[in-house]
Amino acid sequence: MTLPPSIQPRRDGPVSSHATGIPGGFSPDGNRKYLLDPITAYERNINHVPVDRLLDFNRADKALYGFRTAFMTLPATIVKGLRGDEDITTADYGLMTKVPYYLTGLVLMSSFLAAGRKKISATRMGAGILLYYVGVGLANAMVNGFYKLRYGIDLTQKYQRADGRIENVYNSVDAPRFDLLSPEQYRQIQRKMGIPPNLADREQACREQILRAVSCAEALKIVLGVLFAGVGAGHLARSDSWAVLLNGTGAMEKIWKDAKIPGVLQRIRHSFNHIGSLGSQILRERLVLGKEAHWFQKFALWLTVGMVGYGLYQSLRVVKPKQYQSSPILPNRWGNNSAGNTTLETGSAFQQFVRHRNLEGGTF
Amino acid sequence: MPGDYTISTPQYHYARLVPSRSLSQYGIVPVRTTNALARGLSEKSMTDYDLKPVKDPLAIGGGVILASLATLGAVGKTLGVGHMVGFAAWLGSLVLGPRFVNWMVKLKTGVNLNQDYVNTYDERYKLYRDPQYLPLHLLPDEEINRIGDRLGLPYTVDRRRQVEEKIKQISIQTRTWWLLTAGIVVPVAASGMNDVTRDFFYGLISKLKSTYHTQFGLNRTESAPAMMRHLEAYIDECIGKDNHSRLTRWWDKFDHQVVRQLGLEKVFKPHDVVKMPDDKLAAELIRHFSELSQVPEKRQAMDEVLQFLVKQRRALDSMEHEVLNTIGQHQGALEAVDKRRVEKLIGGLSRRKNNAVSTVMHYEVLLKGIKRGEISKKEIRWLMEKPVVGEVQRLIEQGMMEEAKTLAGNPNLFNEIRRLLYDKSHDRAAELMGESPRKHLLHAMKSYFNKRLWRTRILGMLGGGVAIATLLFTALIVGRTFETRRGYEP
Repeated sequence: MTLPPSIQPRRDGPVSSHATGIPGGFSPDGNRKYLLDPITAYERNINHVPVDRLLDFNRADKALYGFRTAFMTLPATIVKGLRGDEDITTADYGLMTKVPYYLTGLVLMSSFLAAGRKKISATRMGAGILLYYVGVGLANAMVNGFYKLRYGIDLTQKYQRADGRIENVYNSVDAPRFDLLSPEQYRQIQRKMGIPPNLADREQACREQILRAVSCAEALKIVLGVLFAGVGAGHLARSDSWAVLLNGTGAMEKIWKDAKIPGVLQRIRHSFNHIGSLGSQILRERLVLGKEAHWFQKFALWLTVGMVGYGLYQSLRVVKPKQYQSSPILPNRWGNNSAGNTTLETGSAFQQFVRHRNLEGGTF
Repeated sequence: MPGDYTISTPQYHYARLVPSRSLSQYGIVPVRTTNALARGLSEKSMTDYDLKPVKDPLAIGGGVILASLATLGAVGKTLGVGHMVGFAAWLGSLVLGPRFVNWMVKLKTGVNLNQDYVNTYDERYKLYRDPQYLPLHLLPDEEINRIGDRLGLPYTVDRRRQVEEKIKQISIQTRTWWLLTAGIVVPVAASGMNDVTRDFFYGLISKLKSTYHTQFGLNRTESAPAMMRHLEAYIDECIGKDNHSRLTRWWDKFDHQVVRQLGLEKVFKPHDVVKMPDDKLAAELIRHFSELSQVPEKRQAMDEVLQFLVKQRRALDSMEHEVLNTIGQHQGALEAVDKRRVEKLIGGLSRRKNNAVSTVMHYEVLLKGIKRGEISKKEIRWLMEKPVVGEVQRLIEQGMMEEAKTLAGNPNLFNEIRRLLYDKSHDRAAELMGESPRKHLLHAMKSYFNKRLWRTRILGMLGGGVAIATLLFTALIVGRTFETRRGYEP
């Protein structure tokens, strides 16, 4: 049966929503996910039944989304959680774990700085906590950038659920939302991974590699984050220059009270220069190790360097070579190809054995 | 039958309830974590279940301590052990905190929120981990009925459904409350545990250290470690204490001793003392002393304190003297002296490591002549700010080095000061006491009163507030019926 193009469900990619990114939009294309018949799909489309859809955020959208999450979604979620509403989700729990994540640092830092007796060490400990967050964020950004560049996988890709919630596509290592990826994205990933273009099941081949890549990225994020945070909080924070930077020896006051410097912008520029020079001083002081450095410091630094190199290697290397079946598999060849290898690797060995036996016309 | 393969079923596990982990069973967690990370990095598959034990503590901020552990070698063994204990206390409060909240909820409603279950893949989860999938059908009818009775629900047709809805609400409320309060509870509980266990661990370490020194530190040659041991013995002799950590702890407590003995806590107000500049505070102190010396019973206490102050000053200066001598003997080979060891030694003696570092740096400057090319201006300023070095710095500027040494080493000084105080010539006495003891006293006062300000108690106040709020929340809000909003149902 051929239908006119206006009735046929379109099979191209999802609608990108620049500039809005606000919950409440409806996609006319998303109904293909439900495996509906074309007429029902058409009905649902004209009735604007919401579906899950990918979101294509630009920077402004991301900023707006972050703002909404922090100041609107999070308080609403907390109220919902305290009442014990039934519509709370796992992603809401994930959102609420941001509260202890940042609150802990705040409490620790304020308690260090409030205990006025040991000001220098308190300042350094506070700087260590700041560097912890910086390190974890840096590791996440690095890994995301690597995988976006090399494999075309955007690990921060968001999608909007039918009920309006916005979640991460790769939130779960077990079940990423492969169904939401568009053919274009699959094509790009396939090209970047070096998978041959004329595959029978292109998407399945991509999915296997994406799963591996996501697993690796998760592990890399954790290891790199702990290492960066360790070098930051345990090593870089041990400089006395932090006290100059944070606690102040009057240098910043001088800049802001000096009558010779004209204008606010100049003052801002001067203070940024001041902070930059102190920062570079800290880096030079701590990252160039002398003879007196402890072996553990050297070990931690070299381990970090090695892990960063490993991440680069992971991102730059080609996906593991594999024999792909590039022609469509006819039903009489299901179970084994001409080379005698099993092509359909789904199911247990026992199931494969049974399928093979049945198709070869063996026992019954 | 289509084939015999339907009869030979695979080994199939059913989901089942299991008792929650005891504390000793948490030992498997690091093994599983390492395994998961290794598998992830080697491009094999990794599941959410594998990642769970890493992600949960990191989300609560335990990584701060994990991170500072990563380079603990820099600070020395004593502080390293402190880090370890802190890390253990942190993880302990991570485990015990939710259990405590759950226990309170169980007291009220009878729902055991610590319940674990094992799913068909042999993975152990918390029963109430995922609000979108609560396998409450695993709970037996007796349990459901018990909770229903506790909550006062009627025996109707859909009783089980009603009870399950209530359990779900309670679990969500408790989990949310824990997430909100974990950021405060975990640091407070961990710091409390550390305060309790601190003395024990430091005593243990100092014992081990002294054993090590007596067994292996016999050779008093010119090598740096032997030099240090010699110095340690000398200072122990001066002060009459047998090890450094005890000295440090005793010195910490000394602040309070002095202030209480002199009765300063009743005279001054904390806020004034902390904000007052040093000169003014010193003047106030002298005025107070003059009043004190007229009261016979206070005079004895003041006498003791002054004796102590001068003794302490003498010990400190003789330590400096000794270090000067020992370093001076090796002045030619000063480059070869292990700077870190000197730091370590003096770090045990002075209260703060900063003092130690600056002292060592100062001696370098002192012996080599101030070479500004080697030491930056910033470092020199740091040196000048140190109370330990400030006195010496002043003497260098005035060129009165010998005078200072003789003054510090003079045993008759104390008697002279006491005589002057009894004659009520306080200014002259204070002048003779020198800057250092007075500075110590000012420092003691400031730190004593600092501890009594509200901002230094904010951590404890936060902890207590959270405990009270948890009580109120459990009593008033958990399990209460609200007009909840349903989710989207297509």
